[in-house]
This record gives sequence, C-alpha cells and structure tokens, in this order.
Amino acid sequence: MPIPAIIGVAEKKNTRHLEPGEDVNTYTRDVVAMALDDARLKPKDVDGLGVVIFSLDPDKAVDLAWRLGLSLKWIIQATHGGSSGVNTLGHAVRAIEAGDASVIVVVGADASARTARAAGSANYNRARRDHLTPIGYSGPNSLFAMLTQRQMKAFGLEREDYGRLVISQRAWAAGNPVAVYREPLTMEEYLKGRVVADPLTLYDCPPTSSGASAFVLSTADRCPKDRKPILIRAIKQCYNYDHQDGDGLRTGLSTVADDLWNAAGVGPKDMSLGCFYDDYPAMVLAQLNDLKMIPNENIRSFVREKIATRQFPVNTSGGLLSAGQAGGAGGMLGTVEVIRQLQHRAGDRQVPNARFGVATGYGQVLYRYGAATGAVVLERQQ
Amino acid sequence: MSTEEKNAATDGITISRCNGCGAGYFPTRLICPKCGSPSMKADKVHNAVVEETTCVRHAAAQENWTPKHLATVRTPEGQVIVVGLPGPVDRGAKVQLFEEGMAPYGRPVK
Repeated sequence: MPIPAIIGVAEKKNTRHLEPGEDVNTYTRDVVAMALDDARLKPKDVDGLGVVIFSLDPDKAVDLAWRLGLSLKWIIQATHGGSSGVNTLGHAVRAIEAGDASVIVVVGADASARTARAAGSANYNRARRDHLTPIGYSGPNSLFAMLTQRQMKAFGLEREDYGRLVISQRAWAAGNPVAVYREPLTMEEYLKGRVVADPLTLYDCPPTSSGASAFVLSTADRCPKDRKPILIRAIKQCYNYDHQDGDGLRTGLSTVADDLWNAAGVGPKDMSLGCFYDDYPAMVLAQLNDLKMIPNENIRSFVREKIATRQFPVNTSGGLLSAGQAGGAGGMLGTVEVIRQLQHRAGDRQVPNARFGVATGYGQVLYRYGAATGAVVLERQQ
Repeated sequence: MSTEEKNAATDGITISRCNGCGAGYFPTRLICPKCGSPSMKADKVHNAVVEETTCVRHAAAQENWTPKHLATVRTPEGQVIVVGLPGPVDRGAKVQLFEEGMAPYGRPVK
C-alpha cells in the first residue's frame, strides 16, 4: 500500500485589504502554482484535488480544476468550517493509500470583502439564520464570549490567562512573514483592547483576512531530494459528538484522543509543537485539554509555565489571532505550519529539531459552539 | 399572513418534542438523538434561568450598530437557548420566554 507523504507546501501572504484585481481565483491560482513549484511538479503531474474554499460560489471544485488546468482522477470539496483542512487531508490520505490518486493538491483560500463575510455568517446555516441572526448575535463572537465565561468559571481562569496565550502567539507571528499582525502585544494593551462582546476584546477575535495555503500529498519517493518528506502518523475526526447539548468546553477531540495517540504510536510528550485551531483563545485551551496534553487539566498552570515560556510551542505561525483568519485557508493554517516546522523551513520561528507535531481543526458552529473537529499527528521522516 | 403578523410576539418558545420518549429540543430536530424516533410534535417552553450574558458592542461591517444584550438560558426541563434581552440582566435571573417569528427572546420576571 502506498505510504502518503507531504512533499510540498505554500502560503500566500494574508492581508486585511485586497489589492485591486485580486480575488479568490487569483489567490488560489497563485498558491497552487507556488505549491507545485515547491514540490517541483507540473500541473500535468497532479491527479487529485482537495478544495477548502468557502467563497468559490457559483463555481464548484471541478470548475476550479478546469480553470487550474488540472485533469483529475480524484476530487473533493469540504464544507466543514475550521475543520475542513484536517478533514480534507484525511480523505486525501485514504485516496493515496487506496491508489485512487498519486499526487493530490489540497488548497485552501478565501478572499472576500468583510461585508460578504458578515452576510455569510448571518446565513451560515438554518439554526443561526432563524434563531441567532434576528436577535443580533452578529456572528460567533457573542457565542464564544459566553463559552469563555463558562470556561473561566469551570477552570478558574482569568483574563490574563487568555492574554498570555494571545501575547505568546503574537510573539511567534513576528517570525512569520505571511502574518497580518506581527508587532509585539503587551498585557496592558491586551487588557485595554476594545470590547467586542463581553468579555472578548478585538485581540480575542480572529481578524478576517484574505489568504491562501496549499500542500502537495503524494508518496515519499516523489519528494524533492533536498528535503525530508512529512509523514502522517495518525488522523482522527469527530462530528456532532454531543448534539449541542453540552457546554462547549469539550470538543469532539475528547472522544478520539486515545485513538489518535494509539494510532500514532507516540504521545503528547513526544510533540515538538502543536497548532490548534484558534478561532478564540478558549478553544485552543479546550482542544489542548481534550487531547490530554495538559497534566491534571490544570489549564492555568499550563498556559503560564508551558505556553507563555515557549516550553511547549503553540501556534507558532501566530495562529488565526495574529496571522489572520482567511476562511478556508484559515482551516489549513495549523496543518501548513506544522508541515513547515517539520520540514525545518520555518525561518525565524523555527522550533529546533522539530520531529513530531500535532495540528487540529475545529469549527462549523451549528448553534452554540463548533461541531466539527479533527486532529492529525505529523512526523518528519528520519 | 403579513410580516407584522408573522413577527408578532407570542408567549413561549417553540421546541420539538419527541413522540417516542418525550425529550424536547431547541432548535428542532428531525430524529430524536435519545431514542431514535422520527416522530416529533411542536411544543412550547415558557420559563428559564440566565446562565451567561454578553453585550455585542461591535459587529463586523455594521456602521450603525446598537449594542445587543444576549443570554444563554436554561429551562427547567434542560433546553439551553440563546435569547435576546431588552437590556442587562443578572446571572441567575428568571426570564419569561417569548418569540417573534422564529427569534427567541427573554424578559425578566418581575
């Protein structure tokens, strides 16, 4: 059975404001070309395409393949919010293993105006359109504001604890040339940030941006000889695990964590870094906890002693909160960052000797919190 | 039915209640996740207690936004609903539920 390996990766710089003439098509074109160039392949070498783009309408994945000049044997399009990147990687891994495709490009991109994003959030699904938009919820900020209050109460957290995470991610972003916000952030600035939905400030909410990222999944023998292939040790997903009947402080990852680590054959202590979908700081902490990476569920201590000190590198791209949330590309951000770190091509933010990394996806807020989750453990081939 | 009639406030919030096991859900479901029955009927819940509140002070791409007060409330039966409020309400306060169209709201019980 072919063993899947990631052999190329690319990102286009995130931006808050599109340049004239740019749109989701130009962003997608650019990043696919960059990823293929990075893998030293041509479009004719590609026989699989995974699409993680939320603003592609009215086109579909096959329209995109046509425009990109790709003739394919395998194609998929994900609509699972922030977990779409991990979801698509999971499908692509099985396609390579099954022999359905030999070179798959997975591309995430979004480039649209803020007004279009706001309209999309208002009409995201039936429950939010009918029951939340009319009461002025204004997107997920308000829902995660109340979830954050629950987490603060349940785990004894203070605003400063979230601040330490956000400030840490901003410091990592200084080394990421594609991040939108790279200047240092102080605790005083964080605490005085403009309140968006109590208690969340603008620093707790991901800045919507335009951006694109892509990776090439194939087999190790197709990897350029001057770099190590990145192997997939394990990938697990969970959808609608609690029917929205819980408090949102647990995600579906809590139900697959044991399976993930057992399949990977390594554990949390073996990870060189982790990139957790950070639509809000509370969800980074929830996912770390669900994956059993926080001893004794002492979240407060973990933030102070491991994340703020960089003893355990978290969201080294800066995460969505500093690099920017570029729709579908945002759901790829963590996976792409772990790939770069394991390739030892992360520049100023490189984690020394990175060998294993975990990336997650989280999203598709059905009503009160996200319902789609996934996690992948990647390894630098030795 | 006119828009005004459709959106007129009515007491209680509509839920779906399973004809198999009696469990009630908001938002409505098609199949009961507890017993698997596909048979549901409309019912109403009328009272709840406030668990968390927030005030939406800014909204993306909205220039003339006015702050909106929201709460997560729990009914005696256990449904957890996000409702609009007329103004600030304390945690633990009891609210009377009503809906305008499909939009759920709560008002403090005096």
